[in-house]
Amino acid sequence: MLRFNFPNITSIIIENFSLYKKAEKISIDIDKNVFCLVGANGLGKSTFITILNYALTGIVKNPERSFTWYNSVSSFYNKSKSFAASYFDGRINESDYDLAQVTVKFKIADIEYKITRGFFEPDELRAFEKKDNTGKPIDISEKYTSSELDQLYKKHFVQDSGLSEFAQFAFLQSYVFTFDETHQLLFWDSAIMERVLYLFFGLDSSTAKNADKLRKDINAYDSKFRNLQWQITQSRKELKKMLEIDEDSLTEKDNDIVEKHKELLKDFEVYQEELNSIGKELQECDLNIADLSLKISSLRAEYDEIFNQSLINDTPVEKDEELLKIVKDIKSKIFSNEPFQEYIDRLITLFKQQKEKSKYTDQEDSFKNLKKIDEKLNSHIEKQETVQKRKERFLQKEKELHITIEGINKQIKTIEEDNKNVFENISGAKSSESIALLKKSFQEQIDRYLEQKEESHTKREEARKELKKLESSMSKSFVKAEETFVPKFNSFAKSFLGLEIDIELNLNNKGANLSLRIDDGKRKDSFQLSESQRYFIDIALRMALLGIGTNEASLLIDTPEGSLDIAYESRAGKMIADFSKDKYSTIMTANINSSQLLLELAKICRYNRMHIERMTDWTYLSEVQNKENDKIESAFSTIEQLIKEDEQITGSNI
Amino acid sequence: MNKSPEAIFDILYIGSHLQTKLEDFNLNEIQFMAYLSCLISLYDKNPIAFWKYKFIKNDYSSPYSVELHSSLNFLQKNSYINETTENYYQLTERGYSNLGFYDSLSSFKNRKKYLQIACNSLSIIPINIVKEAIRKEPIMKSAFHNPGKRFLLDKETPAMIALYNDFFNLHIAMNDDYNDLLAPAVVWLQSLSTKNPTIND
Repeated sequence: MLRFNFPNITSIIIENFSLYKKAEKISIDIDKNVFCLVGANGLGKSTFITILNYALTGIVKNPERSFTWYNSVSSFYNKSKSFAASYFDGRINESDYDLAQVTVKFKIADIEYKITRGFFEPDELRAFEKKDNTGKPIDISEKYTSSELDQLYKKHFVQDSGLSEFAQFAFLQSYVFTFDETHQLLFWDSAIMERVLYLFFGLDSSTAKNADKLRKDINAYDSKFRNLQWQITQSRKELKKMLEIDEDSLTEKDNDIVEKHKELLKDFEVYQEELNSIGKELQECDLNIADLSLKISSLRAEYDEIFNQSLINDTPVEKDEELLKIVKDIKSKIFSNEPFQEYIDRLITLFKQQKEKSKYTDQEDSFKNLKKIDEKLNSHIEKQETVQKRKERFLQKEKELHITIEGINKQIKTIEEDNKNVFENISGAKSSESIALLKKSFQEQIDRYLEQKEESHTKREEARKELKKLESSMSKSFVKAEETFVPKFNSFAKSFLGLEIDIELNLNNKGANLSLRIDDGKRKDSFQLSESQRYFIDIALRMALLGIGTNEASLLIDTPEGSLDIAYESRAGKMIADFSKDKYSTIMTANINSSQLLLELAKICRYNRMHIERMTDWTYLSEVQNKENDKIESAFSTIEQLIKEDEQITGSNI
Repeated sequence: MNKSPEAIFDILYIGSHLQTKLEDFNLNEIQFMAYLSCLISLYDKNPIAFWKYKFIKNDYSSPYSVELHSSLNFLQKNSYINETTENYYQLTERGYSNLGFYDSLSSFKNRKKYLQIACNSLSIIPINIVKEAIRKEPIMKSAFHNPGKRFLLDKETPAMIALYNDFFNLHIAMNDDYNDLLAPAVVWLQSLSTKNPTIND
């Protein structure tokens, strides 16, 4: 299953990057499993992650665009190149434009790479070095231009990594190996997930490339199919223009027929326009419903949690089953003269837990919070109901319009058929071009559209069939990989969430996808997990994918703790520590003023496996940042002490 | 622990009403009344998911929801309700205080309507007759004959279709003259109770 070799970053040098005002050259060795960049908000922590990704791939992911917009892995890679310039533009001063550059060193298997890029040259490299697994540098001619160096780098990279094109790496680095500030989640984005599944569970990486192309084709045929209806409408309009005739040559009765015909064509056009605008309204409604439903879901999870807090959990001593059981056990141990210290310890732990719990149970506060969320939830639900009603109104209107348009179409056809001679006369009256000929060409055009429509349909079905074949082989490969992948995912996810999680492969018309079943199936849908919990479950998935796909890798995580519940922060820290072992490393950024995540991470990893870098050495702080930074400095000292304790222990051991 | 906000609220709400009428209540009565409320919500054209928790049939041909069971245990353990005689309960002061607060929340407003109708029907029909009637509604009746485990209210089972058919006939019979739901609920329960021999017979 270990089919890939992904880069394990060992060092990065950033030069003349104006945003980091204090340091002309920032040089960092990443020689421990966890590298964490800490600092106040607004100092450029996320930018650091972006620089690292840009150095490796030559692209910057545009946060405003979803993957669906690109529609394919190669299009994502090609279209993201130009965004790099606009991203770095505001972060690098005019005077540093040519000087600013980034150098990154990494290993793929035992092969060492070193590349240097300018920030405004996405398809070029300023330097490229590669040493094979014996440490011997490969020959690179000095005559190579910078864009040839870039080509060479990509060629070597593809060869050593086991991928079939560099675009696949750029895609994986952006969407899987990096959890960035856009928080795009694999589990909740079927377009990205499908591509990832083919890459990791397809027969080989070229299957992923094929599947990507097929999915792109299917979407293209679909869209072509829809466009043809619009084309036919346009043809109707042309017909109307075509019938602008010399009315003098017609009898009064003929005139009435022609007038009626013109009127009907006009009506057709008006109703068609109305139909289009209803289509837009419906789309807007769907968008609002989806948005509100997402908000309602995450509020509902919060609501359940606070509702539980509103119930005082103080079981009287005589009813506390756990306590009674321990007392019973102690009694039986005393009577049988056996040691019972273990049970006393359990008793102490139980008391401590209960004391801890009672800290969080201030009923008045939770009532207040519950009321607040209840009001918010209710207002979202009301809004959603309003939009739903609006949507239903438009749907009804759309249905009625379809019937009207169909009626008009029939009338037009009947008039044309019943009055063939009139329209032929018209053709005679038309001086320049014969109407009959025009009508013929119009009919031919419609026929062409119909043919194309049929062709799109056939091609779409063919592509679907092909994709189905790939799906089935991928599904087989997934089942094979389940033995290693599922337990890996489960161990990460469970250490974070504390619950058993099932992960299933689903195959349907929209494509392949992974879905979650938590515990007893009651949390099947995403809304049962809070937003931040979802982040970490998604990170767990990435860790598991890396675990089965490669022997070494660097995972990039940008300020992950977010609004994570305090109870989960240390669990999240443990999960990252569990992953960051051997040749797997995590490069992350954090704002540590309140996070338990880093404390736990530091506690587990200590000096040997963790390095913390402060941003205060890189740039100057504003007044507000200074205030925030005080808190960070104090938290930093705590973590530093934790790490140093270990250092002292290690030192004294030596 | 399967307790849920809706189950907690339903127990406190139904419990307080039963207590007023019958002095105390037990889990079985709560299950029946909650199930009845859920059926009334379906009659009022709500989707099945509206009720938030599900029911199965227990070994005594009664509707059973694990959420209600766990929530009742929780409430009893933490003194929101007290046991009066074996397996019969009453709300404590703490129980009433929480019910008062939850009653003010918008989240329960919609379901309260149905709980209220179910509880009010007890002023007209005694609880044992209500229980007998519910045992004869199409879904419970079908579940009685079916030994397999499944959720009572599930989409598109023949029994579900029969239930909706009952509701449709009831709508027509009531001629939509009644704005409130109490009249159809009572008519339905009465018609069920006189319909067939009970399944226990």
